[in-house]
Amino acid sequence: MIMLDGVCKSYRTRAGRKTVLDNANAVFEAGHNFGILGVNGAGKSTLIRLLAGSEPPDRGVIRRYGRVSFPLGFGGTFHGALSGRENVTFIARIYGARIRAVIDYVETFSELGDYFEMPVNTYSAGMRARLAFATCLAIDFDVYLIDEVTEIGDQHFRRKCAEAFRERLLRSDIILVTHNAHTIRQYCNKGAVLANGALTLYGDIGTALGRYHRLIQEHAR
Amino acid sequence: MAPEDRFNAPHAAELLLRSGQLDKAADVIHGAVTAHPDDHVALRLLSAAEMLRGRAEEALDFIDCALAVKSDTPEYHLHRANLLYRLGRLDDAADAFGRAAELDPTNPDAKRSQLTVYYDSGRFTEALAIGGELIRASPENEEYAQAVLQVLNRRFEALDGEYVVLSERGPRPRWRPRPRANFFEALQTQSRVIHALIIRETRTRFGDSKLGYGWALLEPILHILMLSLVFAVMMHGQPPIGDQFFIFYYTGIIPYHLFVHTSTSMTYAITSNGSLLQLPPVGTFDVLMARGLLELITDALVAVILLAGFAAIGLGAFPQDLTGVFAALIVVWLLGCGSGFLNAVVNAFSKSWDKIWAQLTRLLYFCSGIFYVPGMMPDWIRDILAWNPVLHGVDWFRSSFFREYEPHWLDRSYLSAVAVATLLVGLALERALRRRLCEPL
Repeated sequence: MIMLDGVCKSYRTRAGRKTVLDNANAVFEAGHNFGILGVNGAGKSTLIRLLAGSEPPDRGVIRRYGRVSFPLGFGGTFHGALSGRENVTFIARIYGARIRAVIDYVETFSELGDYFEMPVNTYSAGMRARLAFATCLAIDFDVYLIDEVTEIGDQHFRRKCAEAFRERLLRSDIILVTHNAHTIRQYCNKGAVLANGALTLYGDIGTALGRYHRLIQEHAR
Repeated sequence: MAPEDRFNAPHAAELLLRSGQLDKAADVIHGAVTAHPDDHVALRLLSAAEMLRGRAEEALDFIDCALAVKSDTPEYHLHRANLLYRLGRLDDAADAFGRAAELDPTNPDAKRSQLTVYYDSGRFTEALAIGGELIRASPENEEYAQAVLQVLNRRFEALDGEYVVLSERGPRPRWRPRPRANFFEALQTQSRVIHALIIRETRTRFGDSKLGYGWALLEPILHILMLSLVFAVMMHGQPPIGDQFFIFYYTGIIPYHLFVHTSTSMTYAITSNGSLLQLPPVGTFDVLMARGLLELITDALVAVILLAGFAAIGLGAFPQDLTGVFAALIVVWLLGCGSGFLNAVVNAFSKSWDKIWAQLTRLLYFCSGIFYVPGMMPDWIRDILAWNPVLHGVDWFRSSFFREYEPHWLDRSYLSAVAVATLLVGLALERALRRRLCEPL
């Protein structure tokens, strides 16, 4: 469960300050999967990073009960000069996971082959994403935060991810951000819409998608 | 014209609508509807008027009334579906479009709209089924083919797989608040993180070279050997204390290096670990502490290796007061840590601080009694130099290394007080400005 209590967040852009959250209160309850919708530039990725704790809020508190993953689809923590194995070992150490088990899982799942021993800066974007995805799945999180999963790998790998997620979702929750309504329908049972600094949670996906749809119409106008 | 004029009112309203006088049209038609509540044509018009005025909810109510009177007009269903779509009730809109298509199978527009609604609400399977029907009915229509292709592409992008059924899950409590980590657990997590960071640092700092972390040891060793050789020649091999210049220089440079390495390396801890700070368990304190500790370990190893090396080539010298040596190094390190915290904070706000700091450390090299003893200086200069805490660190180390060296200006409590104060201020600033330190600039 993740609880937002009076959270404010804004950041500087060239066009002035951009507000992502303005005094937002919300509860992402345990046992539910949330899909977060919002038009481009609403700050969905910032919200995911806030939920993860990668970024501190300007004001207010975010309480996490249970282990929350780092934002998935984010391979930025990998050090280019270190091999895939060394990077994964580091993450496992940080989270206090069993290093041997994590390494074995990632090595098999990511299908990187010999590249697993090569520096990460020799990887393609897809390989990086595979490594990040596998690492995130290897560690037992209670809540997975996923930022735009759609670009990962080929169809074979996506299928594998979906399979792994299906299995993992029996135990863990996900909060995901995507433009793909289909993905949200598949994985989430609750929706949230981020717009104009307000985060609104909806009890079902249909209502959230409808609200999102209206937002797009207004945005286009 | 009387508002209850059942035949002319709709015409008048339609003309008013066409000429853009929405409110007036709504008034006229409203009168007609009040007079004849079962006139579905009037209700349909009223709904159109409300829609044009941007009142979609009211428009929906009126078209529902019209459908209650006459439920088999496909155009009414089409209108209703459009309203639902506009209101964001996508599932209802899809059903309404389906109903319109059923009633008028010759008009493909309803089906085409249904496809859009299914697509928007992520129901790709249904969208594809509709698309198939459309293409079967008019195989040469390119727009339909495009629409179906769009659905297929989007579906390809989706993280595919079977639907996740949440009820498949075993019983799990709705709320499962984990107890907040107690102090001991928090400490455990923190030391785990710092440990991981130190190991990572040893791998990455000299990532390109084969020797790796070895360079971190070799570099200061070579530096010390080179400089002591130069000074040994310059001073004709006769040090102020002891009988070996190597040892004398060693006792000066080790505390100095510990201070400079710690404070300088911590300056860059936040800027060069920006991506790591995105990992929730890693905080600014952790990356700073990891660097500080790594410098302590490295310089301690260098000190031990050099001492062993001296012993191996016959320059046997061993600290006479081991506890004092350790105490001196720890206090110097604490001073370095405090300065490191301060440097990191200042550097986050003023990007040129690290350059100034580099100059200051160079100045300190000459002011800390490394290759001389302050006693060799005139009293007034020594009194000024005695303000430099690093000088006390060097003399503390030296006086513990050589028992016979007992400088009267050495003030251990001064160094300790400065170290503790710097550390407290540095830690407090880091804590207070933490949120702004890791903000990407």
